[in-house]
Amino acid sequence: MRVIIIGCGRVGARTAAELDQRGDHVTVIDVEQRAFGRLPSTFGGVTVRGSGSDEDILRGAGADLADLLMALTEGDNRNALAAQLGKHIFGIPRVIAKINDPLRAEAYRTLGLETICRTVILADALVLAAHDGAAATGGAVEPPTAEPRQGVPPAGTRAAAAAQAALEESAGEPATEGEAS
Amino acid sequence: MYVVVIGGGNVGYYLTKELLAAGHEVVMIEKDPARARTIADELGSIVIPNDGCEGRYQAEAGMARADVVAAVTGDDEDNLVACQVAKMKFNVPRAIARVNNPSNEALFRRLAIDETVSPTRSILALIEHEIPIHDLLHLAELEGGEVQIVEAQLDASSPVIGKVLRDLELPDGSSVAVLVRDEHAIVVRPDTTLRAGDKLLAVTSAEHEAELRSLLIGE
Amino acid sequence: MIFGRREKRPALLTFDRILVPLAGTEADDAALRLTAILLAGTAGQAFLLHVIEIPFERQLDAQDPGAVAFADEALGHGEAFLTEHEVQVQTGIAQARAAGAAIVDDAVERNADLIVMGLRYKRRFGGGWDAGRTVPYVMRNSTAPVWCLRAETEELAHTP
Repeated sequence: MRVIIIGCGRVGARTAAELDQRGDHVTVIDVEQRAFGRLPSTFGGVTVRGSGSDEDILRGAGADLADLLMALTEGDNRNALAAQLGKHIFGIPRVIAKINDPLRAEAYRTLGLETICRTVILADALVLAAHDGAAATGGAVEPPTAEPRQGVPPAGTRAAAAAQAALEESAGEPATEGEAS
Repeated sequence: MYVVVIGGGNVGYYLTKELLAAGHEVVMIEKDPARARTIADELGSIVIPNDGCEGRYQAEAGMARADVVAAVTGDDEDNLVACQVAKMKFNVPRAIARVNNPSNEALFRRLAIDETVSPTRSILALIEHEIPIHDLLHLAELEGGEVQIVEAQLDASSPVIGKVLRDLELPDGSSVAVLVRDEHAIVVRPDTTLRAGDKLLAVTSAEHEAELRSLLIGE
Repeated sequence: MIFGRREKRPALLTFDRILVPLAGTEADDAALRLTAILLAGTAGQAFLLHVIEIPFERQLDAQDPGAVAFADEALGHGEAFLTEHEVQVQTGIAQARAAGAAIVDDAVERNADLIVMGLRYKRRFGGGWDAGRTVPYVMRNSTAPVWCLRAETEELAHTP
């Protein structure tokens, strides 16, 4: 699949790297050269320095042949413009625009754009994690993999009791006082 | 008319002033609070200090009853989104967008934003049309512009070199009054032969000026 | 009344025309009290003004009977109070996009020598005191002097 990604921020760079890994033809566009430093050295796709809202740049990046365009800059409006450019001028079959304002995202879905809205995704996942735990969020919220060893917490706090219990447990003695909550 | 102007930069500011002076009702949406305050201090309580691309603030600006929305910020993408939201959510009859990058105009039109103004394109047109090597120089205007007094410099490529004045097919309302040759002014006579380097002072009407220019200078 | 009718008032406290914008809230009471103190028994006039703010969604001359009724009540209350304290009073209603601008303009038109306004105690989310939009606007833009009074409040009594 031929993919054009506009915006080599953290999201754009990681997405580009993974798609490239899967064997897709990826072209990444960004206005700043140093943004491409976020790509791994193994990246096998193409990078183009320029504005993804510029028809000439997009054409040079192969928009005429692209199957998918993802507009992932930090500007909702810029992404909306670039995605529509891709769709209406270049006829790219699928366009995805990152639009963080939920209302605007909804509006643009009525205009044929696929949208990804960070605000809604994160808020939904957090609400779910709050009540049903991290595991319920399908990986959006991830539980800790280890607890750090720290100094002694103030006496009388829950942290102190938990630390005491953990210490006794690892020393092979059953916890007699206090409870880990 | 009720006009919503999005963007309080120079264009938005002067546009709002002119519209108010012409007696229209105007609201401006400008997202920088300091700029919004400065403009409101001068033009009155008609500035909403928020993002004009958001439906909520467009609603607050009374977009539902607007006759025209003019999106004139310095960023094409903001102007595009503002116009699209206004049309989609509020069915504003006319949306005018400033388009800084002329190549975006095609996209705007494809998205049903028919009225775009590209300052870049306008200036480009002026530049390209106004560097003529030769042209009629306007010296004076009479009768409210109806009568023009112009100067034409004849160079070697001029179609009338070697012709005699009486043989020139001058357009209606035009006559050649004075000829300047080698820095001397000569009153022309029907049998004067025109030479390269001559400067002709002619009288013509606004309507026939282009024709006179073609005759004396060529294309 | 502080001053009896025949006592000479100090020039400092003599005003001819005081504009008293009324919001229709308890904030008005403090402003009315001060106005009564200043003008009672004098030839000075109080002008009570209520501004109906019309949002941009509606035309400026839109009719809003509810708002007019509210205005009438606020003005009626103010007029009764001042009349009771022997103050000469007139009332008026205006419609504008922003009350502040209308108040400033009205003061100029009437050539008021003082504006007296009341302010409720209101807090913003996060605890900051909220002076609203109107009073700060009038403070900043009025050519006439502005005296602003803050109403008493229960809230602060509970703050540690």
